[in-house]
Amino acid sequence: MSAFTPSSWRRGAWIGSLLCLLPACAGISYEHRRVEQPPAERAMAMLQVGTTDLQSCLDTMGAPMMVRKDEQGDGMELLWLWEETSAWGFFISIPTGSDYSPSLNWADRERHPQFLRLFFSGDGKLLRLSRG
Amino acid sequence: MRFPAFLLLPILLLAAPSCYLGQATVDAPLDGAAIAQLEVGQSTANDVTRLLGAPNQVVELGTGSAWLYQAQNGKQMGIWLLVFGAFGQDTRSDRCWVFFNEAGTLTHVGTTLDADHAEYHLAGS
Repeated sequence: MSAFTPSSWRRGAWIGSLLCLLPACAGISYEHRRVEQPPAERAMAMLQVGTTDLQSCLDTMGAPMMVRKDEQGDGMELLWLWEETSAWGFFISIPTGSDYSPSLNWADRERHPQFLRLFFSGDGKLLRLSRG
Repeated sequence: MRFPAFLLLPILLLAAPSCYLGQATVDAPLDGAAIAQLEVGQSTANDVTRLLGAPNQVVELGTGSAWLYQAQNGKQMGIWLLVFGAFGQDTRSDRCWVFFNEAGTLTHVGTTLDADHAEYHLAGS
C-alpha cells in the first residue's frame, strides 16, 4: 500500500498551502548574538592585585574596550565588555488592508553583558578588580 | 502513488524563501605591522600619528593620555523556513590603546586584533 493516497495528497496540499501563506502573518524565531569575546580565563587568573603592572596586563589581556581616569585617584580604570545572548520569539500580524494593521512581536531577549574592570594606580600597579 | 522526485526542488525553494549573509564594518582594520613598529619609551605621539593616523578616541588621564584606535567587523546570518526563522550575529573588533606620559612619549601599548575572527553562525555554533 502506497504512503501517498489521493486523500493524503489533498491533506498535504492544504497544509502546505497554509504554511506557505503563514510566513507573512506569523512565525517563530531564534536568534543568537555575540558581541566581542571574553578575555582568556588563564589571563584573568594571572591578575594579581598589588603585583600586576599595566603593561603585563595589556600583554596578557589585550586591549580593553574602554579606558578612563579613575575618579577616586590619579590612576585609571580599564574595562572589558562582552556579551552572548540567545532568544526565542514569535510574531503575529493581521493584515487588514487599511493603513493600520495590528501586530505583536515578542522575544525572551534579556541582555546580560559581562564585564571586567581593572583599576590601576598612577604608577601602573593593579589596585583592585571587579567582574560581573 | 509515489512522491514525484521532480517536486523536491520547488518544495525546497519554497521552504527557503529568504536567507541572507550580511557584513557591517566600521573603519579599516588595524595594521598589525604598523603597531609592531611602536617602541615603548622611544616613540612619540607624532610617531604614532604618522604610523596609525588619527585616533578614534583620546582620553585625558591624570599625568598623561591614552589614545584608542579601533575597527569593528560584524557578521550576520539568517534563514527563514516557512514559519521558523533562525538568526545569528557575531561582532568583533580590532583595538589598540596607546598610552603617553606628560612629555608625549609612548609608555604602554595594548592590542587586540580580533575583527577578522568574526563568524557567520546561526545558533551558538
